[in-house]
Amino acid sequence: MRTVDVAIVGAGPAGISAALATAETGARTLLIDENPAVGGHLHWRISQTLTDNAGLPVATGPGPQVAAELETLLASFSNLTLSLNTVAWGLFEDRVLALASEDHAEELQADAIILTTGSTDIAAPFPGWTLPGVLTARAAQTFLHVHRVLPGHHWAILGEGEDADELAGDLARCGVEIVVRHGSVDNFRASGTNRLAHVEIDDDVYEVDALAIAMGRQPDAELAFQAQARGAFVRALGGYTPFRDLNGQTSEVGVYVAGDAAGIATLPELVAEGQLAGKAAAGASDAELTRAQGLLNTVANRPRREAIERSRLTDSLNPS
Amino acid sequence: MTDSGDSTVIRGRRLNDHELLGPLPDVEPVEITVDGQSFRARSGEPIAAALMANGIDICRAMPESGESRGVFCGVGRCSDCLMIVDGVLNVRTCVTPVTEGMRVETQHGLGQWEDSQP
Ligand code: FES
Repeated sequence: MRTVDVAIVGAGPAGISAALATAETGARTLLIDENPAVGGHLHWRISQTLTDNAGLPVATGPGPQVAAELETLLASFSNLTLSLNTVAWGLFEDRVLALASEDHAEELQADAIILTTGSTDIAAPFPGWTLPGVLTARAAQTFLHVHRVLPGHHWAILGEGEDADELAGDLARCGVEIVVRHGSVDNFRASGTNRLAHVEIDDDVYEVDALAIAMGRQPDAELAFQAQARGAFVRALGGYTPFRDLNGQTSEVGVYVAGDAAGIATLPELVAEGQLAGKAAAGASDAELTRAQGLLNTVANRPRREAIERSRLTDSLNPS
Repeated sequence: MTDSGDSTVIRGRRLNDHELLGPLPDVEPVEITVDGQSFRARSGEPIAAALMANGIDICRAMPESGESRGVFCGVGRCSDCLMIVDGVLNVRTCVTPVTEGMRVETQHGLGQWEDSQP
């Protein structure tokens, strides 16, 4: 079985930050992602890095440009291997990670594993939600910005909050019409024969050809739970999240979770949390860890931080 | 024959320019067939993107209800976009890139494997 010092699953902003932190220490690092390029949501949520690089070691710009620069930076480390188009589908005892790509499958063992697996869109059902033309915010952003295809010209947005506002901005930039925005699934339905043609809100009918569900996202930490890490449903963090210590380590020794997978976060927080987990996984000194924890606290978003504190992994939560 | 069963085909969907991302880069065009009809695609793009750009939104029909399904999650998680690709059933078209001469078919219900070759 192949072995590495640190394996990182998910090459979004948190995973990249973790990988740069471990690679700088000389650790043999493997960074895995199912997509053909590193960058994760920088490729579909393109506006986040326009004016603020959030602590990423590259200049500001549209997400895909930032992602490309980060990929160049990662490639400069000879002790860092990038495994793209690769799905990490299992995490077993003793930090054995199962990987699969188009023509290859293997298990590998790592001294430390960092899960930066991100988030999944929340989609609450409503009448007509399965019609073609109804899609998640992430699908909409992926088709607009990665594939460069318009799912429709006349849009409805369901959901409210930052994700819905971000999508509205993205759609406006693509020059399509936002016909209606609505906050919740109450009294909301989509209709059409074979394909979306209308949304109905109370007694009002709107003609649309695309409907994006932008109701927020939930943490995606399935691999940690598969490895038996302990956790709980924490509403303020967006869903089921693992308990973690100050550095992001779960109840499974050597298994770390950072970024959205540990609770939906802002970009600066993803970056700082990735760096901290990377340093811890690579065995950084206490002084260095304290510094990285301090940095995370300065960028931390208050409600998320407080929720994380409440689900902090302590000895009482982790009886030996 | 397209089997969309849909009278409205939405056109003009290729996002050729974008204020932040710039003009769409040139790539090799490839030709694929969808239910026997030829369409142009951009090499490397997922099948579902090529279909959408050509006005096709329906990927499959549900086994029991016969209801249509198309792209929902767009990232390989939900299975709404399954189609038959080069005779293989249940291919997630939102994460499978097009290749030259690829044969794509609407999947009805669970679909049927082609007779095995001699
Ligand atoms: S649209 Fe969900 S798997 Fe393809």
